Amino acid sequence: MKIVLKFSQKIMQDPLLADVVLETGVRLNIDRAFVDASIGEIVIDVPDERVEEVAAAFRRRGTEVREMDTPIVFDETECVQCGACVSVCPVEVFEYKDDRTISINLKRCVLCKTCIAMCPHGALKTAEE
Amino acid sequence: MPKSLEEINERIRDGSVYVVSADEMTAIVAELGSEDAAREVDVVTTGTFGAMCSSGVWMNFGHSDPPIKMSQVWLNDVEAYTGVAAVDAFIGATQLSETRGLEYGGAHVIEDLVARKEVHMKAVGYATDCYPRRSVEAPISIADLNEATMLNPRNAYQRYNVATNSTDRVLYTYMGTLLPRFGNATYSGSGTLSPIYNDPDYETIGVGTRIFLCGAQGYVIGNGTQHDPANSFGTLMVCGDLKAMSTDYLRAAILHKYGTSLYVGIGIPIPVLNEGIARKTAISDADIKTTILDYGVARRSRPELKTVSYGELKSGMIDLNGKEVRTSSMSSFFKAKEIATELAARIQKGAFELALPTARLPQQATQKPMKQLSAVPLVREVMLPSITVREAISVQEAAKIIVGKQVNHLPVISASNKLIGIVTAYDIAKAVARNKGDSLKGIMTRRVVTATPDEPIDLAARRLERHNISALPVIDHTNSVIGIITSEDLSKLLACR
Repeated sequence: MKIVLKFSQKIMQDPLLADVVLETGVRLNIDRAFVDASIGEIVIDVPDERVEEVAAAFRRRGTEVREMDTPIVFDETECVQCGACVSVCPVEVFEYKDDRTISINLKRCVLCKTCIAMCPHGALKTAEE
Repeated sequence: MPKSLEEINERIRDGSVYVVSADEMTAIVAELGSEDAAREVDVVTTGTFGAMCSSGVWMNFGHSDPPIKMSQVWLNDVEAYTGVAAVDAFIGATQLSETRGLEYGGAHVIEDLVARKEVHMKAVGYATDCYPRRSVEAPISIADLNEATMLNPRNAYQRYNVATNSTDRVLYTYMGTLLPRFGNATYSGSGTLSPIYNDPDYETIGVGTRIFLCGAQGYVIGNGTQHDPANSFGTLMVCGDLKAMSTDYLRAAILHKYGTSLYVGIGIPIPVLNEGIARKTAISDADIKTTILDYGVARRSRPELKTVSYGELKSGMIDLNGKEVRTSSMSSFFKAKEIATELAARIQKGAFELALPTARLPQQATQKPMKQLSAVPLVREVMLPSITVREAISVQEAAKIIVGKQVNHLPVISASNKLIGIVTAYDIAKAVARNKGDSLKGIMTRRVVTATPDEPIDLAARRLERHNISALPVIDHTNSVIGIITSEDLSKLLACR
């Protein structure tokens, strides 16, 4: 399962990820990281059965944790099944099916948003939009 | 045993016609052979659904009272061309909204009209004795227009190039987002369903051929602009009644950081008049080849990287110099097939008869490049000699050179004369303010954005703009500085063009 970590400037200096890996022993995978002057946001992939444990370890260190449930919202009525999204996705969320419609596996999404800009028909949006 | 078009239309009327789509025909000819296939099959339907920028709609608004001769007209703030009679105008798919920019354009106005939505019409005119009114404004819908005729100067490209990107940055093009270092490739066109590829000698597609255009019955009215059949890049000019169209087959599109376009759905029925036509309609995705071009080079002739077939493109992955590159279609093969199937159904139930062309389209034409009175100057023609310095010199020495030579940029070179950095007058001022005076080593920018002598200055100007910088050292292939080009000099040059 993918979870989103948000942390403030205050704790940005701490090696949070390393600490949590050492404490829990969970081999988590960093999907995406964004850090600027005021805030850091990291998306990590954690085995489903260890999510609670890992989330708790981050929360104890002052990190905001939430599950990434609906990363990208897909509007079927706008989609024309071209597949422009297929080649720009780094984690292969989109694939052509045999009938040339597009299958979507949002579980893999890391919210890089490249597909949103690519879609000529505005069929993809973030959940907040 | 040849058939006449009249015989085929007779079968359409009595319901005995046999229609298949072009992808099915490939298998039929493979199984029966072209002679038997020609006997069995009466019509092969083709289809395509993709971004066709060269599209638009002629409208007539009817006369106001008192009447106006429109000199400019806007629909939802998108300007339409009205340099014709008083209340006629042409709205083009790629014209952008004056208030919403890249988010809304002529294509969206067209889609809104077809969706039966109201759009806001605003027009101005210079008063005359016969047309005294100076301005008019009204919400209008498609029903309020006398005519709304789609007229597309260039549609249904026989095939199209594949786009990829060799550079280190993301490119936003009319072929979509192209990821750096050949990160992906995009293509367009419906391959085996391509209308023109199923009639490559223009035996049945010509002036007057009746077609499926965005759900309505339309017509081919000539060859498209840039028609280039000699290189298998034939195009069609088409028209049809917008009032009979459906948003199922017509969609506005936004190509990120490029602009708007219209996805147009076209289906062309090909009467199987003889064995030769049957054989040609058997063409498959594997038979249709196209070229991968490097859109990283923003010139008219982009480097050709490789030839691939639509079959390979549709597999989702192509091999480019040993690297697996994922492919995306910008047009929808699914919708193209839907159109071919819908057209076949309309013919089968007698709702669509075929028409032979009244004039043939050019079969050997080629397109030529723009006539330019003067070539765009190259960087080497406008660059100035550059003062270069070594990284070991002090900030004060650099300051002296900047003041003495009256320059703002100092490319920094290594002992072997290679470019290793750049300092600006601002870097020097900053270093002085912070008391970092010892050498340029600590203050220079190491990732230098450069130009090459043989590129047109427009490319250098675009690079300056993109990086928000004011000068580019010009380097040769050995990374030695041979000059400098500054935004100041460029803007003087561009202003007097």
